[in-house]
Amino acid sequence: MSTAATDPDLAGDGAPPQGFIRRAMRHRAFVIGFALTGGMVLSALVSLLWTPHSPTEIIIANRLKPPTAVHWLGTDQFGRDILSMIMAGAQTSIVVGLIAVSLGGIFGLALGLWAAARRGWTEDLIMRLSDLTFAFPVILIAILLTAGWGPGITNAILALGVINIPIFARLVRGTGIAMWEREFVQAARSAGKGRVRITFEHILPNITSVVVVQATISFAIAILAEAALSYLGVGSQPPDPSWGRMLSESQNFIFLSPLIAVWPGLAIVLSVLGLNLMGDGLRDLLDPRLARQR
Amino acid sequence: MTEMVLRTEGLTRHYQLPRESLFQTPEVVYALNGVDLQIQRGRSLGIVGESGCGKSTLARLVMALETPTDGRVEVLGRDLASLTAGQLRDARRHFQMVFQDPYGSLDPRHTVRRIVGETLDALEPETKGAAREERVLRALEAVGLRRNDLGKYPHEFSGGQRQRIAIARALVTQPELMVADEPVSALDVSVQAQVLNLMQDLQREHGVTYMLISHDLGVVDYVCDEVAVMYLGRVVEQTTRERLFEAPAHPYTKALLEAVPRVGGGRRRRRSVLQGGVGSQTHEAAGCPFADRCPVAELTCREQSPVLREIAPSHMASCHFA
Repeated sequence: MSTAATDPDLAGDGAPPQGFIRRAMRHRAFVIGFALTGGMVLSALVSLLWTPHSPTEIIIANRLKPPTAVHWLGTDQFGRDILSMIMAGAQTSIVVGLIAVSLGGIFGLALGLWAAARRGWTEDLIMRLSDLTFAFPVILIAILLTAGWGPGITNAILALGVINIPIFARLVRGTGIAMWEREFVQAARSAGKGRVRITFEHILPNITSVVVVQATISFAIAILAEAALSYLGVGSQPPDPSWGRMLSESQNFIFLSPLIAVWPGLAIVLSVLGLNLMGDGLRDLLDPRLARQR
Repeated sequence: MTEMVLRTEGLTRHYQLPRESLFQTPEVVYALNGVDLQIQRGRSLGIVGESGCGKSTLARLVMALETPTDGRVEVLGRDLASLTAGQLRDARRHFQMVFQDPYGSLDPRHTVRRIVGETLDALEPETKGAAREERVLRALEAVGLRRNDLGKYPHEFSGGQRQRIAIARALVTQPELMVADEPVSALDVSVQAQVLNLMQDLQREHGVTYMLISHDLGVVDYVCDEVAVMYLGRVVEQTTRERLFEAPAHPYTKALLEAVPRVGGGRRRRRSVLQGGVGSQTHEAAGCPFADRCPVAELTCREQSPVLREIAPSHMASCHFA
């Protein structure tokens, strides 16, 4: 404890990140996760400007080609270039993940903070509604919602966003309630601050790390769920590129050309793994108690 | 008649526990049962008692962090329960609190400038800019910290320094009453004396009135003019510090005093080790609440509840035999 003031690496409880980058570089899971996630984002960005071939151009003569110097990952049943489709598919995954997580995150955060600040029947109502959505599996809710609103990428995104709301609400409420019990919040109350002010000045800044970590994990789940929905035909519609639909279309040709199922699968695995590792890493790096042990 | 800074009348707080099963009535914790206290301006009242006797509940009620089940709290003659939310906020500049744990009572993400100024920002929003900085700095200097500590974060300080920051935060609005809930129990013994000395200096210079809560009789002996001994949510004895240590009347006070370890031989002490643990807080039994553990208890003690009565000038005790 006595060295805390001299060594920036032993920074105390919730301190602003000192040497954050240095600590992050030493965290192997975070570095791997960051690299994988960065690769996904990069390929999506590049695909906006350039792909080796058009991801939607159909050349039947070229169908089901193995990897060659021209088509690095081969071609699919319509002769489309798989690498180009994977790169463009990353766009879909990122857009779905970002919007679904922001939607769920913003509404969930607001509801969770409200429940923690108000307690009483407000909290009960919010939490019982959350329980209701938790009672159904994620994919089932998404299918139900898209069945009601009609298939399509927009509805899939909305469905995934709605599912994320109670996840964030419950997390924020739990950590928020724990924060309300802390003595510095009691001190703020005796200083005459109201609930709204305490929520924004004390509760929110002290739970951001938890929310950030949950966001990366929810992002990964959203990518997976989008793939599953597209696989089932209620997510993104042709000709929009999507990893999940690539998987579902490839299954008829899996004995002719097994590799065309491997590539989108690998893309999903690597990006989900990357986001999860990055989330775990962030959790360690943002938790000052864990930071001190390193 | 000198002015009373704090007066409580019949202050009571019960907590309802969550019910254990659907068909049972939920149990009730009787945390505080009718406490009458008063503190004159510039004096300090110590509250002592074992853990679970209602000391911290009393502090929270006095600070209006909770509402009493029954009874009233008056600060500077105004009943806190009768104030509107806005009036209560304005009144808060007159009473401030120092918390037990200096590691938990300072927001780790705020700088000292922001922590100490927090009371000003909330209660005197008209004090801004250079005037605010000046007030914060004066409060910091009053507790022995320096100008270049303003931009630092709590983790950069030791426990004793953190408690000084907490005291500066309470001091910045120049309150009449300061409630200190175990202000030194989380600190090293060597640092305890420094913080207590600081509190005494502040009292001398600013005329602050203290309500100091502690389980440590030594701390109370050092700082307080008057002492109230609490047991199971009641005040069982209240008198001046001198009388409490020289002529304790209540058997519980005697037991507490004998439990204090002392350096050196002196007169030999008769040790009356208390039997059993603290009684149940979840039901109200007839008779004296201390009867089960009392070395001098008789039949009347189990039948009649003693009232707090004056047994000598400015010496109150609630015991049939005092």
